[in-house]
Amino acid sequence: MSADLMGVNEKVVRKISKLKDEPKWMLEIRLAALKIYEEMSEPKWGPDLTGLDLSKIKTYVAPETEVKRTWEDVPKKVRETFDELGIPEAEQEGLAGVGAQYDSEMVYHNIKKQIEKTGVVYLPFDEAVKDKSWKKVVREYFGKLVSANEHKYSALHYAVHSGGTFLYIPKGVSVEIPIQSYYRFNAVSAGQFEHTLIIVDEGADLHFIEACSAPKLSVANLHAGCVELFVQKNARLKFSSVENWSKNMYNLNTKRAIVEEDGEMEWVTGNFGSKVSMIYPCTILEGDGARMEYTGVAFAGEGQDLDTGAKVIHIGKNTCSYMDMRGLSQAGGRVMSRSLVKVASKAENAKGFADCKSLILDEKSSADAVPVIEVKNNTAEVAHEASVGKLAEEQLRYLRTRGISEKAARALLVRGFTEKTTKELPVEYAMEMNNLLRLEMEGVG
Amino acid sequence: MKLLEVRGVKLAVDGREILHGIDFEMEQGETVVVLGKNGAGKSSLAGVVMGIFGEDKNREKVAGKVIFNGKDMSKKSLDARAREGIFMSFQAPVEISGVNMMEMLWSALEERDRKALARREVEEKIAEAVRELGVDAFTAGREVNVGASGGERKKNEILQMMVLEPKLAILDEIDSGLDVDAAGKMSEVLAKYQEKTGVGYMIITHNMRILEKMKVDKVYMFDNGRVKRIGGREIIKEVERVGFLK
Repeated sequence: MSADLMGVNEKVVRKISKLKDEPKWMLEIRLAALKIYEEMSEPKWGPDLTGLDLSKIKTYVAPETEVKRTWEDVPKKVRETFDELGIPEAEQEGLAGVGAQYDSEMVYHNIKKQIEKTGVVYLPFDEAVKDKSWKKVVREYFGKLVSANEHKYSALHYAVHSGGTFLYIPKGVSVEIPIQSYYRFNAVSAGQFEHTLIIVDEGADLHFIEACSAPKLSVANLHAGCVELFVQKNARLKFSSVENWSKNMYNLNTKRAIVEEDGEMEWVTGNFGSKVSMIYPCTILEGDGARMEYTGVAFAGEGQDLDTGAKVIHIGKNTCSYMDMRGLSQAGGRVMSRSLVKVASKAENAKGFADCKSLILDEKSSADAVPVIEVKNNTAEVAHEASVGKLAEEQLRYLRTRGISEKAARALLVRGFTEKTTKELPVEYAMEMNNLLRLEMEGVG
Repeated sequence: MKLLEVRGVKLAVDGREILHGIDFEMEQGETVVVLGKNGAGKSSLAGVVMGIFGEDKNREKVAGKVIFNGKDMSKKSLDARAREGIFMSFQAPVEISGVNMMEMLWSALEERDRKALARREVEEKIAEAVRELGVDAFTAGREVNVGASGGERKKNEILQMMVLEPKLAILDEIDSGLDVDAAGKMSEVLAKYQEKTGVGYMIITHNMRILEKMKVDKVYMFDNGRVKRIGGREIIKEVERVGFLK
C-alpha cells in the first residue's frame, strides 16, 4: 500500500493531482483550497470533532483497479463487496446506470445503452475533468455552488477530492428509472472525498440515488464529500441518499442544490451510522416558481452524535419549500434536527414550512430540534413546527392488546415515525432502510 | 372448560383499592353483560382480565386469579394474553400515525401464529371483515384511527376483532359514539359473528341498543368495586326503567 497518501499537505495534494494526471486549473484549485484549509479553524458549534486527527488519515487510498465498464472486469475482492451489497443485481433489475466507488477511486461505471442514446452523460468525475466533450462544462460548474471557503471540511474536500460522479441530463429528457452511485469505504483510517456534480437541463427529469456504506472499523475515518446539483428551468431532480457508515466515521458532507424557474428539487435522506455527522443539504430556490421538498431521517445509537438538517434559501418569487425531518435516538445517542428557512427581500409570495420531530427511545439518549427562520419579505408565509418526544405508552399498549410483543410494537411505531421518508424511496431502498432501523433498534447496526 | 374464571380479584391503583374481590365467570361462547354506574369497576375488571393493570408494579397491585380457557393468566403479559385469544376494544382508541391497520394486523397475526403470512392471506381476512361490517374498503390501508370519527374508531375496533378471531372479546362501551342505526347494525354484526365463531363476549355498556339483536346469557351488575347482582335480561329491563337504584 505504498501509494497510499497520509495527512494533508502540499506534497500530498500535488501527488493526488499528479496521480490523476489532471489539468493545471484543478491543481490550482486544490492548492488554493489547501491554503484555506490550513488557515481556517474548526467549526465553533455542533458536535465534538477532537477525535479526528487528519495527520493519521489516509487522504488517498491507491486503487486496485481502473474504472471498469463490466462487473466481470472488476477485481474479484472488490466485486465481492458489491455483490454482497446486491449492487450488480440492482443494476440489472431497476437502475438506468450504476457507479461504484471503492475507497478513493471509482471502480465501476456503466449506463444502459438506451439511456446513453438519449444523450445522458454519466462519467466518473475524474474522467469528466479530462473528457474532451465535457471538461469545459465541468470547469464551469465545479465549485460554483459549494466553495472551499464554506467551512474547514469543504476546503479540505477541494484540496484532496477524489472520485465521484458527473451526470448530465439533456434538455427535455426524462430518465424513467433511477441512476445510482455507490460509495464503499474499506480502507482503515482513511478519508473519502468524492465529488458529485449533476446538471439536469431544462425540462429534464431524474432520480439519482447515492448510497454509502462502510464495514466496522476500529479507528476514526472521515467522509468529506461534496454534492453540487444544478436544476435548470422546469427540470426536476430527486436526490435520494442512504448513508450507513461505520460507527467511527466522521461524516462531514456538504450538499447543495440550485433550482431555476419552475424547477423542482426533492431530497430524501436517511442518515445511519457514523460517530459524528454534520450534514445540512441546502437548496437555493433561485428562479421564480422554484420548489423544494426535503424528507429525512437520522438515527443515533450508542456513541453517536448525528447533527443533521436542511436549509433552504428563497430568492425567486412564488417559491415554495417543505421540509420534514425526523430524528431518533437510543442507547445514549444524540440526534439534532436543524432547519433553516431564509427568504430574501425579492422573494415575493414565498412559502416555506419546516417540521422537525424527534423521538427519544430510552432514558439515556437525547434529541433536540432547532428550527430557524429569517424572512426579509413581508409577503412571505413561513412557518415551522418542532417537537421532541418519547414513544407514546398509550400507542404501545394499544398495539400490545392486539398481541404484538413490546419489542415488535416499538419497531412498528419507529417505522411509523419514519414512514414519510421511507415511502419516498424505491421499494428496495425502503426495505433496506426499514432493515437498518430494525438493526439499529436491536443495537447491532 | 369455562372460558373465563375470575377469582377474588382485587385491584389497587396508587394505594387506593378499586376492585374489592371480584368473582366472575363465563362459559364458552356466552354473552355476559356488565352493567353499573360510572366508576363501578366495570372497565377496571376488563383491564385486569386483559392484563393492562399490574404492569406498572409501583402503582398498580393486582391480587386474585384470572383463568382463561383453563390457563392461569396471572403471570402472563398483556400481549401474551392477547395471543392466547383475549381481545379488548377501547373506549377511546388512540391514533397511531404512520402505522396502517393492515401492517398492525399483519404483525399481530404473524406473532400469534408464529409463522410468516403472505400479504394476500391477511388481505383476505380483512376483506371479509370489511364486507360483514360494511365499512369503507380502504380502512385497512389507512393509518390506525388517524382522523377517524368516534363512530369510525368503534367500527375499526370490531374490524380488528373479526380479523384476530379471539375466543373472548371484551367490548367496553363499543356502542358509544355510534348513532342509533349504527348501533343496531353493530348489534347484528356482533350476533352473526358470534354465531359463526362461537366467540364469548363480555359487554360493558350503558346503552341497551347494542344488545338488541344479541343473545344475553348472564348479566352482572357492579357497584362500587363489587358484584352487586347476577341475573339475566330482567336486570337490563329494570335498569332501563329505573336506573341503578335497586
